[in-house]
Amino acid sequence: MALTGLEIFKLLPKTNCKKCGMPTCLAFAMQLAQKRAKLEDCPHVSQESKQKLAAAAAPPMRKVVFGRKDAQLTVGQETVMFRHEEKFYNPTVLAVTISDKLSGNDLNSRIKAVNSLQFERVGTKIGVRAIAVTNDSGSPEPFAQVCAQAAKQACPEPGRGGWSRERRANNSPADSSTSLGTSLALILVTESPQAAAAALKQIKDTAGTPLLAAATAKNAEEMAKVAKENGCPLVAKAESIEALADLSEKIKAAGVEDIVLNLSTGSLKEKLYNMTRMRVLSLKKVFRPLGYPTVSFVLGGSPEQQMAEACSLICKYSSIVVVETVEPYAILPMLTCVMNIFTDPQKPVQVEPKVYAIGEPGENSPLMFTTNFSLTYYTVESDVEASRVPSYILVVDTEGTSVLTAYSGDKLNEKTVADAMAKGNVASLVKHRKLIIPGYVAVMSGKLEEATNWEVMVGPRESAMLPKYLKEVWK
Amino acid sequence: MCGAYSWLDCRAAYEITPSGPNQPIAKGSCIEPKIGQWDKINAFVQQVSRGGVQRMSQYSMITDPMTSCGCFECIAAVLPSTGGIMIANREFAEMTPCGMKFSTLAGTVGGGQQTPGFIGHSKHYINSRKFIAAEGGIRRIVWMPTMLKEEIKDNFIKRAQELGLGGEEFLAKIADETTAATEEQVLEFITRAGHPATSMEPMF
Repeated sequence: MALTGLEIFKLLPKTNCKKCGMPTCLAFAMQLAQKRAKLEDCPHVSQESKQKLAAAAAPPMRKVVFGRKDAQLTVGQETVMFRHEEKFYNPTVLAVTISDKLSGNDLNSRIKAVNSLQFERVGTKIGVRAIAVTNDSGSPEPFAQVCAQAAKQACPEPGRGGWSRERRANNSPADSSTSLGTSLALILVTESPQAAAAALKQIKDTAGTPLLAAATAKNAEEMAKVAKENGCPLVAKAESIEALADLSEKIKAAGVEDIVLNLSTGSLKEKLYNMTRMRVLSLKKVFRPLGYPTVSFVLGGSPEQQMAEACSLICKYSSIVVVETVEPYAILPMLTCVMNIFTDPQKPVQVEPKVYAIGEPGENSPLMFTTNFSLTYYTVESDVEASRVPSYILVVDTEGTSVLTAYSGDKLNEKTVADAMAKGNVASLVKHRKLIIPGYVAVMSGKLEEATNWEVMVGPRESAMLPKYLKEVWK
Repeated sequence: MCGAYSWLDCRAAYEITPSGPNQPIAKGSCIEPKIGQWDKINAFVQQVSRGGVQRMSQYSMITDPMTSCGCFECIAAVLPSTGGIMIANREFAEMTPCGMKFSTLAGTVGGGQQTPGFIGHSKHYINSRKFIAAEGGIRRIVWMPTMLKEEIKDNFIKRAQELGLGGEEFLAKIADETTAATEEQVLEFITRAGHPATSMEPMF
């Protein structure tokens, strides 16, 4: 449990020496309790107090990092049960399986299918981040071979569009310059220490740090040895919470600290129930043997079933979800689900404030402005696209608030708009001097005309009316 | 108790919206007479805070103190080395002896957090017999801004007499911004003045 300010205060020197920058030790303790100050700032704190405070401050859930050097994936280190309490930190990693029974063209096309599962949604690139090679053959050689090939070829393609971007992405031929420049992490799914060792030997130089899955009660020591030698994190797999806690302790004793937990049995309902219990035990009771990220496997079932199951497990509380399907229509909802619950609820989602060209606008094309709240911008953008009138959208920086919110908070006024116009150098983009403004802020037209010397045209209140407006009023 | 909202306000709000945030709570039986805890109040607090707050004391600012939203008139905070507490009112914008201004203190105690050693309360409540009764009530007060002293003076003197502290004398033993700006100065002042807090048991 986190210590209260007063408990922290008792561990401090109580000298009010002011060297931490605070006037009193009490003020410093309150800052520490709110995680706004660091203990290192206190020069006189005793070693004993330091240990006590560090133990209290240590994250209840461990952070585990795996993947390639250029695209490392971080999971775990979550601090809350519910997103609205603070935020969720490390987005669920979505992985897709590749069986080591595949070879030749089948294998190539499967890797290609996984590579293509990259999307762009509201301006953010999302996609599958790992390949899970499964040791279905049961023998080490094919497993090592497929791992090696996956390590070599796993390179995601540039994002395909979600939402309104789909069309544009399809129109433009593959452009190598937009490549993500990252590659997928590997998860080695085998319970044979021999197969794991053989595969790790093959991919030592290409795959960075793969995640090894999994150690069970039977093979724990040997698996832990392989994981330790190769410095990779290890999944602990067991059938119950109690068995998992025992197993993670055993693995830790064998020298592997980066552990990911996997509950291997139970219906979806039981899984959700148990995953929630594990999260409560690790975060609220600081039960260290369960203080690790988790991985869930969703294998089998139709793409729709996998989608439903994966989304449930993303919400409660899988750090990694491994699925079998490569259907984009099933993968995109999972990624959207991750994106939705892992955005920071304390900060509005924003787009970069600049001038966006929709279609291929020229010097006579309409110019309008909106705010940099993502939802606002993308709503306007898709409506302008729908109008098929090439236009410029000037995005004014309103700290991620919508038009009316920004206006009432005085973040959207003639001055901020004029500044954005100057920054975006709109005078050189269009020959005319007409600016379309959102209908809801018609009241600012007078001041805006004075501030900019541009003619203000009051646009529709709802952006859905933009196509009509651009075709009828603008013309 | 915060000064922004009274018992009658709560009752009226409950009558207007019976399912709203203001609810009558049956106290149940008293389990901690000194710090003021009742079983049904604790159960209620636990349930509505979804386990965030487990217990709540009516008479203590050290053990499971009450929480506030943020509109309190005053904040009481411990001044550890003095063995007493300081009270800052909202209008007092200067630095206080505890090293935090009212605004920083408000960030510490507000928002429904339980912060032992700190409570938000009204001016009127200082003169209540129940004000931090577990810790010794107004005997603990070692610092208040002059404007607050002035405002609550009449009733404060009566209450101090009731406790056998002497009326105006006791008020004069309490430091203010003109006599002490830091914790060290408060300690010096109250030691010289012979303030009762100097000879009381430590608060925590």
